[in-house]
Amino acid sequence: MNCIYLWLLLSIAALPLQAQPTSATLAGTVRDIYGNPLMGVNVVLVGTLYGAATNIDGNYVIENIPAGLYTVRASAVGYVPAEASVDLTAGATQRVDFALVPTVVEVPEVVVTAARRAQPIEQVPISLSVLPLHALTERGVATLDDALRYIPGVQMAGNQVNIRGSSGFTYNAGSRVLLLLDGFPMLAPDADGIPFELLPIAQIDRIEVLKGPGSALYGSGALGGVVQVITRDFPEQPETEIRLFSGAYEPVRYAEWRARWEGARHWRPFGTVIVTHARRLNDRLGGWVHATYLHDSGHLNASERTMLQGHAKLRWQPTADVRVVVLSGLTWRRSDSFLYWNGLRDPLNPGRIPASGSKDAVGTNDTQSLQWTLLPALTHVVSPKLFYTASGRLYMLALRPLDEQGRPKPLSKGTLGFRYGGQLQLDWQPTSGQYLTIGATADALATRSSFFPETDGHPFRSQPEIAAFGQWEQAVGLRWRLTGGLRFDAYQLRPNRWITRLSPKANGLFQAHRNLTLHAALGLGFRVPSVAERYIENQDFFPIVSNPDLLPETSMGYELGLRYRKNAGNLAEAQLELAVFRTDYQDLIEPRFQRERLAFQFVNLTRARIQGFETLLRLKLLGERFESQIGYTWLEAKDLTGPAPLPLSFRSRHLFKGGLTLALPARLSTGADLRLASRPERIDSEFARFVPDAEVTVPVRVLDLRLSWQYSKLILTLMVKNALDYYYVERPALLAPPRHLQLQLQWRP
Amino acid sequence: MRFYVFLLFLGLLAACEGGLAPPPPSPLASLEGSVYYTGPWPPPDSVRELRFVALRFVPQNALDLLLRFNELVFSDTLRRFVDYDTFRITIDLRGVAADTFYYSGIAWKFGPGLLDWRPLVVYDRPIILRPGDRQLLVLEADFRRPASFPGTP
Repeated sequence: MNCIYLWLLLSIAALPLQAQPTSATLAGTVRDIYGNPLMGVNVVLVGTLYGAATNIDGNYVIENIPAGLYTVRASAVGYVPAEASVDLTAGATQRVDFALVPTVVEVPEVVVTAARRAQPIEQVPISLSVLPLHALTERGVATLDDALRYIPGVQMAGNQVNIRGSSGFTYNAGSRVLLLLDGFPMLAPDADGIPFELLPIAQIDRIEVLKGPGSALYGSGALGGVVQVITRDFPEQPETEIRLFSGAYEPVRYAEWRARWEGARHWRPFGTVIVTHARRLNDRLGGWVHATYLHDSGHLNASERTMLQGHAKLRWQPTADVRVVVLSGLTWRRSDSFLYWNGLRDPLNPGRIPASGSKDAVGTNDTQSLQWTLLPALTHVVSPKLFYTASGRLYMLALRPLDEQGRPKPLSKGTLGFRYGGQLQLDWQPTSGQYLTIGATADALATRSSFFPETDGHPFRSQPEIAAFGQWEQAVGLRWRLTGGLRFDAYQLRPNRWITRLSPKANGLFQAHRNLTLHAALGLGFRVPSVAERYIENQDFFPIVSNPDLLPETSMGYELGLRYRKNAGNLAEAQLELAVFRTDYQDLIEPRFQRERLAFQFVNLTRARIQGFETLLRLKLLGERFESQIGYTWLEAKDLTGPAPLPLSFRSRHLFKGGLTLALPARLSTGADLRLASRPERIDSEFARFVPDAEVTVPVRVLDLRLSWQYSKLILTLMVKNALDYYYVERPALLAPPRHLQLQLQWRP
Repeated sequence: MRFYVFLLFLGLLAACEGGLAPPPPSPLASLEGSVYYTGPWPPPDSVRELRFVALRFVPQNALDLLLRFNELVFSDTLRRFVDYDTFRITIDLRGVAADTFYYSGIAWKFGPGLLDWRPLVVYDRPIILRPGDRQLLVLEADFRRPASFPGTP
């Protein structure tokens, strides 16, 4: 009893103390060394989850910090991170200002994908890989699909992205991965495939890949993950860059293959010219333009392509608290699409499917297309704690098939599509440990295509969609950060039929140690079948029939992960990531052969499960002189539809990616990248009934080598891609490029 | 550093195999495929036998099949009363650069007589086979709408 009295006495005595302020506030401004305020800089207290991002004036405020001695760190892409020690006193506001030094070496400090806002990678509660600018440049990457091949856990199946086994091979009709360009979803109006070539590659700042369901924030397309491409802002000083890529595919080494295609006996050239210029036009306006010309004679017969493309991005700041950004691109392309081979004895020529009917299906599709993208966005900073962004998007596609003489056929024989929409997002940070994101989107498409036959009197297929989303982040104590999110989507599949879905998610992040964070995520995901999956009908290239009654596929995903980062100054830096994941799918949409229709059709499988683990190790030694990355992914992808589980088609169980860059004397540097993937455990055997040897696969074993020489503003890089001339397929019946040499010249006058 | 050299070495070793390659040379070629049956089957006594047949000529009637028997190749008997079946014919092209089949399809023996054969479904575009080739065919057969000989009205 005495103890109770003593406790009460102490509690009463402590009351006045509790009324005293116990927390401190940290504020300041971040500028570059020229005195310009920097927006979006992350300022964090090292070893805690306290942090904030600077506003449009470069100011930041972090409130409710327990008094004590801290290290405060300011970091932003394109600048050397800066740190300062600060002793915070209860009830006081301390100011720490930073002047950041620009660097040519980009550091993957800031990401925006995971939570629709800028935050340090340490605070992202889900697996994420970042490919920075220098990694893209070193590897001579000319298109996005090339870039994604270097990211651990990502596989390409032709022009489809497969993140941790989420997608197999779906005949280009649907994608479970969403591509975002500066936060805008990039979806083609016709097939929902990812338009890999429609990006200003020399103005890309970094590529982020969110692994795991992202539907709670991004809706239907993000069931299997998100690829976010961030373009650069304009610099203070004018910058011009010219990049020339030139190379050739080596003649194939087998006489039998060469005998069937004359082109395989010679080096097959390809080349790209990129010219880009960025500048500030006045104190409120700046931007960049980017032009690309690409010609690739192709390593296969009938795989030639030519592309002419222009992009422009303008940023206008009429007042201190308003920013308008407009990104637009126009692409003309003429390409032969090689769809499937003529068997393993003749893999360089497109195949033909002899079938009882009026004509045979052929394995090549020649087209000419024009695509236009317009992406405007307005950001208004209402107060240092509140801002909103209103954005719009418009994509237009006009695609015309080519006849035997290479002349475009009328547009009525091809595809005309529009996709348009808008979004409003509001960000509110009441305190440094809390962050609210809410928003709404609306999108629609109108597509008329010879691939989607008219059955109900409406030539244009459409699928309007609306959504509302919200997410709340809450720091709990010094070490925990919890996030909860919910998204509501409604899709109109037919005039009188809407499908609605609620996608909740929950994430937790725990800072176990200064260098170690643990994260856990779970979320529901869903994907509405694309217009192509529902309506595609074709016999010219492949027997495939429509299924307008397809249901949305849904998923429940879980992930546990850790990130460990150890920094020994300039001498060494190590980063280890480990993630265990599992996703259960219901009504998974996969192509299946329908005997009664004598064609393939997208159908809902009852159940599937994909689980596995992924580990990633990055090492930097002696500053930037030695860099390496090793990633390994183990996957178990099972189709649980039948009585006995079967492997899901076109998924590799083992996936390895390794990369190495080494600085040499005399301004030279060298590097190598190795990609290994085990042979898929199951191939859709029905596909092989139509295409000879379509069931043949081998493990993927690809080694790329490079050597660079830098002199002043000129960088010359020689690359040998697929250096071991290993012949393999990334998707059935399509031989991947053999060894090819590439010379890249990058010049910034 | 040694670890990475070792890793690179492993990669080199792993890739030395070369990947995909043409199948070994063979004087044999194959003509294979699938036949999918739609619609109802006739009574058993009017579907006595089904075979895939490839002809080096275009037959005008059933008698041509008999008279030019050495100019055609045919598969084993196909299964009856099933949704689909597969067939395969192996052709020896030793000493021959290529062989052409102008008329292929499923032959249907509908009666007891020697000439009671007719085409059920036909692929009437030329198929050129070279040694080692593997040619696939996909046929859709419907007994309600059988094909007829070119010489038959």
